[in-house]
Amino acid sequence: MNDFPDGHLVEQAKKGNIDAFTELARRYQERIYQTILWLTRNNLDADDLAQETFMHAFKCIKDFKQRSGFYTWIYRIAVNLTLNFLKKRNREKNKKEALLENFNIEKNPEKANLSPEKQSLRKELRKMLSEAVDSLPLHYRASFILVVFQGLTHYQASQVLRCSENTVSWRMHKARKMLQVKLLPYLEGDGK
Amino acid sequence: MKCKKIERRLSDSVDGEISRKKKAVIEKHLKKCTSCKTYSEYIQKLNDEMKGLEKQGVSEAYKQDFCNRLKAKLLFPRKREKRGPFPALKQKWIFAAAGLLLVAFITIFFLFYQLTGIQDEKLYVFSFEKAMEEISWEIGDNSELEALFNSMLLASIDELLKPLEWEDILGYEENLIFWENLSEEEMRFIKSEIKKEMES
Repeated sequence: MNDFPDGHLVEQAKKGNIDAFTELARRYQERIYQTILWLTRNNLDADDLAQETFMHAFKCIKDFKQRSGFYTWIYRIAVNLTLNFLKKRNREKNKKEALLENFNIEKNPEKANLSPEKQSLRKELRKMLSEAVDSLPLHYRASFILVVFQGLTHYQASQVLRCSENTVSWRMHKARKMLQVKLLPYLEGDGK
Repeated sequence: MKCKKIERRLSDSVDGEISRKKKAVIEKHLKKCTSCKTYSEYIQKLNDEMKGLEKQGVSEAYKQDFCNRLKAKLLFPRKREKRGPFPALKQKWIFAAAGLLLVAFITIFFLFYQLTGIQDEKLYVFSFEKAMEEISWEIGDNSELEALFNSMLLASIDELLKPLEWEDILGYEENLIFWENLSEEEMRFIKSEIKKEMES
């Protein structure tokens, strides 16, 4: 299964092959989880929503026309589910409770080589940057996370978010302007 | 190109979403405009720092666990749990039935109310003539009863005709047997008529 391309696995999954679908999930699970985690800021919610994303995808895979890549399609499901979840529960208010430092997150490989002082500064910086991203309006945040953290192009992000490339470009610009205002003292200084 | 447009293009440039031609225009502008150059440095730095944050990954153990849980859910899908004591559909029917029962109960109550004596009681209007007729029927040929009734009427009229004292006012309502709608003159006339009849 590991060597098959996405297209073949999708075809198999459409026929009800659970192993083929699980392989697809294995390939994209990490990126989906991280994207959801960036949006929800809560590991448990991210885990639940990632599971729900793949469950939903398996249920609907027969309707997947393969006009876009599987990853774009699965991203779209994940982002839509997460945005709905956030709107419904208004989780943004409680997001500070469970930040990134918990169970299954692997330690940053760089961290081991840093001195305690630098680790502390790094932690503070991460917190500041995370909070600044969290403060962005939901759709701006989604665009920013997909482009900056997940490395999607504007076109791919527009496919996921079902908007035009121009909208993604505009949201990125506005998000950067907002972040610049929040992080100006840090950006002006050394920051390290 | 104006600085605002340049700022927008700088954002695209950081994302690698800009044509060579536009990039050349931007670079040309940056050489002249210090504020745009500073902004360009800011957003580049911001992007680098943000990308640095993304280096966290999930462990292989978690990945495996995630896939195992997913596979188990796909193999043995759970039925949706029912909410509350009744499923939503049944609840609707229960509410509808309860509503219908309430309407039926109210209808029956009003029909019963209309058909029973309560209605008669409500519509009953006192009639002096009718009352007198009933009393005279009760008295019949009994002269003793007739004399007693006449003296009672006279006493009652006398009581009403005399000037009212405070004590009388307190018990006034009790004496309004038949005379509540009659004027004093009418009562005097009735009194004289009763006396005539008694004398005869």
